[in-house]
Amino acid sequence: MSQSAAQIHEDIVDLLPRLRRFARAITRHRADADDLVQVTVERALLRTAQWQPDTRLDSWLFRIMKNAWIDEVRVRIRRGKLFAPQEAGDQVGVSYTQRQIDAMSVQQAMEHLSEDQRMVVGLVLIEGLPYKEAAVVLDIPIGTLTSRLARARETLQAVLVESGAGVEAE
Amino acid sequence: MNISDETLMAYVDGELEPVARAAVEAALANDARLASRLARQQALLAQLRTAFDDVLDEPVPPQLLAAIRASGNANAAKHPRVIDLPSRVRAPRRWSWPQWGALAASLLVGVLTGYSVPGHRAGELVTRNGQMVVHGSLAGALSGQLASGTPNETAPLRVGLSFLAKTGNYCRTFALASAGDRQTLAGLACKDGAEWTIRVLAEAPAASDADYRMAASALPDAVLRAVDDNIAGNPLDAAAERIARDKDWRR
Repeated sequence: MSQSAAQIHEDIVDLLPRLRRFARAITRHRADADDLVQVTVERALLRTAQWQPDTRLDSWLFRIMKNAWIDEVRVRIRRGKLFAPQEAGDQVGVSYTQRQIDAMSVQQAMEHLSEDQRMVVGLVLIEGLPYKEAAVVLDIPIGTLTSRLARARETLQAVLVESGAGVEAE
Repeated sequence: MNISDETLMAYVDGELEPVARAAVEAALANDARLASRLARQQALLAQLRTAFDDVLDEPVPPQLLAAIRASGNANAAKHPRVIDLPSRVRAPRRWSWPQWGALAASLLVGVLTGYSVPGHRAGELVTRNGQMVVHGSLAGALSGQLASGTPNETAPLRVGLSFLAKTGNYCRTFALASAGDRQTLAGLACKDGAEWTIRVLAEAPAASDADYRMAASALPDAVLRAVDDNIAGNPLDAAAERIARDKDWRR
C-alpha cells in the first residue's frame, strides 16, 4: 500500500467521530447512523483513488454518506427494516440530565425537518461547513442551500419554543 | 439599518464579508431588537451543537475501525477485535474509550448486527456511572450458572472460569450464546455489591453447540489477560464455585 493511501486511511479514522455525528443528525437513529458510517467508509475505501488531494476529505466523505443514505439505507427503511428509535431501547430506566433532555428536544425537533433540510443543518450548523462547501457536497446552488437553511432554522426554532426548550421571539 | 434574516443568518454562520459583517455589528450596537434576533439564532446554533457534540466523545464502534484497518492491512483480520473496557482510573487516550456514554449502545449495535444474539439481550448491558452493569437474564445466568454443572441449552451465556479477584470480588468469564456460527462476545464480569459489572468484552469464535461451554483455552487473549491481571490464586474448583454461588457471590 502506498504511503498516501495509508495516510488517507489514517485521516478517515480521524474523521470517524465527525462522520458519526453527521450520520446521527441525518438518520436520527444511533444504529442506523452507525450502519450508514460503515457503508460510507466501505465505499470510501474502495474509491480512495477518486479523492482529489486538493479538496477537503471531510466533504468528500460527507458526499459519499449523503449518497449512501439516499440510495442504500432508505431502501432498507422502506422495506421496514428499521431499528427502533434509540429512546425506546437503550435508555430505559435511566434518569436524564438536563443536557440529555435538551439534546432529546433538539433531536425531536429534527424530526420536523425534511430530509434535505436535515442534511443542510447537519453540514452547516452541526459540522460547520462553509456554505460553498456544503452546496458542493449536496450538489445544489448556494441559493437553494441558504433558503433550506433558513426554513430549517425557522422550523427548529418554532418546535423548540413549543417544547419549552427554545428561546422565544420578543 | 434593516438587517434581513438572511443576512443575520449568514452573520451567525460566519459567511459575511468583512464589510457586511461590520455593518451588522454596527447595527447591533443600536438595535436591541436585532440583538435579540441574533441571540435567538445563536442559541439555536448552540443547542444544535450541544445536542450532537456528545457523539464525538462516544467510542467508535470497533467494527468500523476494524473495517478500515483490515482494508489497510490484510493481516489485521487475523487479530481478533477487542473492546477494551477501561478501568475508571486509566487516563483517557485516543481510541481507548474515554467516555462510557454510549458504550452499551455501540455494543448493542455490535450485538444486533454482528453477533446474532437472539432476543433483546443487548438491552441487558447498561452503563451507569461509568460502569457497564449486567441486567436481566444475563445477570441471572452469571449468578446462577455453575461452570461445573450441565449448561442449560437456552441460557443466554455460558460461564467459564470463576475466581476470586485481588480486589476481593468474585469474577467470572463468560461467552454470550450466539445463534449461529458467527463470532460471539466473551468477557469477564465481576460482582460489585449486588451487581455484575463488565471488566472486558472481546470477540470470540462461536463455539459449536456440542462444546458450548467455553474452555479457558478458547477465551480471547484480552479476556485471558484480564483474568491474569485480576486473579488472586487459582480459579475456583467445583465445590468452591458452588459455595460462592450459594452466597450470591459475596464473601
